[in-house]
Amino acid sequence: MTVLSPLLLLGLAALAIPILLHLLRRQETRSLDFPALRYLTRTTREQARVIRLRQLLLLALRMMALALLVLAAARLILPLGGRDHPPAGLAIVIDNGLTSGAVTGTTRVLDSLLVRASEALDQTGEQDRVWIVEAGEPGNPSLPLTPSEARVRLAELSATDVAPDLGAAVDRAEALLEAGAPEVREVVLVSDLRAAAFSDRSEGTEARAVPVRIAPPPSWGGPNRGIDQLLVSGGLTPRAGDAGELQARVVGPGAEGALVRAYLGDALVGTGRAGADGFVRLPLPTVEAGWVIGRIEIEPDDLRGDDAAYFAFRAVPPPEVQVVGTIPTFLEDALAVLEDAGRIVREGTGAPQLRIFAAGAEAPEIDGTPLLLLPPDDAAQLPALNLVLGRAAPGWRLVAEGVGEDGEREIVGGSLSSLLPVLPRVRLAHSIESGDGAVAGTALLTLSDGRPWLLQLRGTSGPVFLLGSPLTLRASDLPGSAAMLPLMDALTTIAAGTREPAGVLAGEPLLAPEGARTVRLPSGTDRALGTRQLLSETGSAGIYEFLGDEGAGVGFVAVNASTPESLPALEPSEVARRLGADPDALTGDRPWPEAVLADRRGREVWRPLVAVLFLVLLMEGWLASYGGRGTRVKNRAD
Amino acid sequence: MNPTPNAPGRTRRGDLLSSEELAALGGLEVLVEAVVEGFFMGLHRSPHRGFSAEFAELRGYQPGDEIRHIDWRMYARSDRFYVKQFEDETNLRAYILLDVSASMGWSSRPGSLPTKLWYGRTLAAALTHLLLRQGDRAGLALFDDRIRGWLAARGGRRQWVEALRRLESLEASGTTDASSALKEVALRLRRRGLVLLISDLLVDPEQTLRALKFLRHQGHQVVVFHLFDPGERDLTGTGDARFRDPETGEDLVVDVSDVRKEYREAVDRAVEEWRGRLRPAGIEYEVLDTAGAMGPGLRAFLRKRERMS
Repeated sequence: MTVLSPLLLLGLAALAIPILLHLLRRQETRSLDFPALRYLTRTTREQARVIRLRQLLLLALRMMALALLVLAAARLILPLGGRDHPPAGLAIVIDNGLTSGAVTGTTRVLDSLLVRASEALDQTGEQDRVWIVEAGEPGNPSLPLTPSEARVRLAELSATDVAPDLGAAVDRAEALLEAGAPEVREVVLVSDLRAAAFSDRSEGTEARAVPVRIAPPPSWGGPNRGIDQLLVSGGLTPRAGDAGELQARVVGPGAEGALVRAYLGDALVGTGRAGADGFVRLPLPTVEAGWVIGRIEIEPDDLRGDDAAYFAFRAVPPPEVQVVGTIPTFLEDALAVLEDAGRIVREGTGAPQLRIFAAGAEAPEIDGTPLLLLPPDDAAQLPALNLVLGRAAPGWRLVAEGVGEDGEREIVGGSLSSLLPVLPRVRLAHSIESGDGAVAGTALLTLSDGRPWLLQLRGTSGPVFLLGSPLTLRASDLPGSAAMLPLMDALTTIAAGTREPAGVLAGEPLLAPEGARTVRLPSGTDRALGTRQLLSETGSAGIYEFLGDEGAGVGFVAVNASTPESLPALEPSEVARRLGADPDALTGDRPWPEAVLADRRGREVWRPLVAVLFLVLLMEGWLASYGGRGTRVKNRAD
Repeated sequence: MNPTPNAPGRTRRGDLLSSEELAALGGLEVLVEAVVEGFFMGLHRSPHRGFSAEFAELRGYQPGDEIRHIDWRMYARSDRFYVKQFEDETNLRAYILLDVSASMGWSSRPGSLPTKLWYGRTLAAALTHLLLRQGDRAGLALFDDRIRGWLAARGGRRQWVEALRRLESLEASGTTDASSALKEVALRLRRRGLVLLISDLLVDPEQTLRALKFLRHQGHQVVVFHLFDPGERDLTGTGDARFRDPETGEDLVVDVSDVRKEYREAVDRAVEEWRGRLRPAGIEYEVLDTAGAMGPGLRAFLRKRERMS
């Protein structure tokens, strides 16, 4: 039972009017002399129960009349069939992610989903508001639309290469409804319900305030074969003039023996077949200085989105590294290895592209060269290091308070963490603190307690890299671990200004390179970048080209589909559990699409209410005038 | 007879005029004359005949007899003096008991409808006039919870003037206790006679009935005129009202709409109870509407007087 105009229910307060009138009339009643009071007293004494009953009946009838009037005006809806419902807010979460591009027979999954969404819209009226939440393009805004506008919006949707997080999408839909929808709200989830779309973080969440309806998922052939991983030379992109290697992994049915082709630009540069574990290695020819763009592909299947993976990097000559002071042994060894591999040059003739400063040495010149500051093993040398830090990156300093005897921390986050084959543990780390006027910084690595451990600071004349721990085994596992070389290579590469964002997945926001003004999407469409330089329209896998002023190229970024959604679809009850939705409300006992807004739909009953109101008024009139009738005293003298 | 105020050019009998019309005629004496004259006019056309003025027999003239009573026709035929002998009307003593308690001073439409006291006073005056006119003796007792005024029963013009004076100066006050007044009247009446009680009977019914029966037991003929203001028979208006008894000060809040019908039935029952208990005792009982004419009251009196003849 519900109403179409809930505000008018405030009129139910008028039910107090008969009672108030009754009380007020009792207080302000007229007073008159009446000698025949004895007859009146006898009457009221004899008729007390009848009078009381009649008064109660009259009061009840009058209150009922008011209630009927208010309910009729508020347009009461009773669950008697029919499709009437109060103004509702309906958020349709449509899963236009990676798997929605799958084709079964001649039908695309997305098209089936759009039919479901359209059927849900059929249950709405023009008084309703609809939000289309694109799980496959979470960066797209979702605005309140009329049902007809929503149909247009649905028609414009396309499948993306994003691995959707449907839990987050439903969260967002719920938030949108709570922020701007009428009282009647419902979330409709239209998806193929692939298991990978429901992240673990959604599990165990509390029951939702807004009902969630799940459209029956269309069936398609999955699980699916796709490219799960692509690495260029193990993460160390080749320097200019070097050859490299493409390492990929094919997953899913038929991964073993799958034919993989590698392209540089549009030129086929290699082919290979995946092994039993799905891995395949393809040679990357010698690259020239400049941008290197390419992809690998497998034979297409129903789901095309994960059949290709892209890469883009800039090949540069080995950067020159200068060391100031005495650096720890492990660092010395790592630099030697990188130098032997041609990844860096030590003490060259040109200007260094990275200067490593070890605490205790004479303060280096701050001349714009990227600076890596190594904390001392002895805390007594921290002030000297902070002097250098203050000159290079004002506002920052190291404080000798950190992980010590109380335990260890693990390096768990930061943009470089994905490059590290192992995540070292840290036993001693100084606190990196900033004060007023501190220059901007970005955490490249963070500890498990959330503190930054490796920072890239925007120094006064160039980048400054600041470590939170000395590079000694007493302070952390890093120097002796397999992560040391990739980390130092990454730092030298970044210092050389060539490091591109790594591991960008479709759907994730992308920070544009400095100087970029527009971006050319894989579809060839140009988009202007905002002042935040953050691109959220990354739903399609492919190469994103960033352009500066007057169309000058600034850089390329490869965006890849995330982990192929080869997991099977979930049962709706399992989906309900993961979404934190009420299983009964989720499935209901009505067939799709009648389940949409089913709890609030019914038949508007203002006509019967008015008819009953008329009867009640008649009864009230009869009962009220009942006391006015009767026989007159027979006057025998007349 | 005076023309009625609302029907110029026509004459109507005073006993048929409503109390409102009657009140417009003027002072008590004038309107009593109008009522009684009108009443007599009606009698000529009615099957009723005269009462104590009815001729009974002739007897021989004796010294001391009034010359005006000599039947001159018999003298012409028989050459002897005979005088007309009437019923012993002069033996009738009638006492009119008028309730003057506070409740009698009430009118449901003050300013337009006369009070019950006005009606009762006019009726009392008319009855007095009738009694005296036919040679009876008429007395007057004014009471509330006791006798407030007493005029012993006498005949003649002087009695009429005195009765008028007493009736014109009445004001309603006090509470009603008809039984006390009736008992006191009973003690004062040594000869059998006619007792005419004019009251709204807002009294203790049991004690009043007992007193009336006592009067009856003493051999008196009793007529009870029960006065009702129209507003006491039918509750008017709607909604809640606080009703206050002007005699006792008691009050009661009632929704008029709730009790209108039941109240009317209660009044009907009260009337029937009075009637049902008075009639078997040989007491005439007449309900009079103070908005109505005096005629019904006078006819009731006439009926009783005829039975006493």
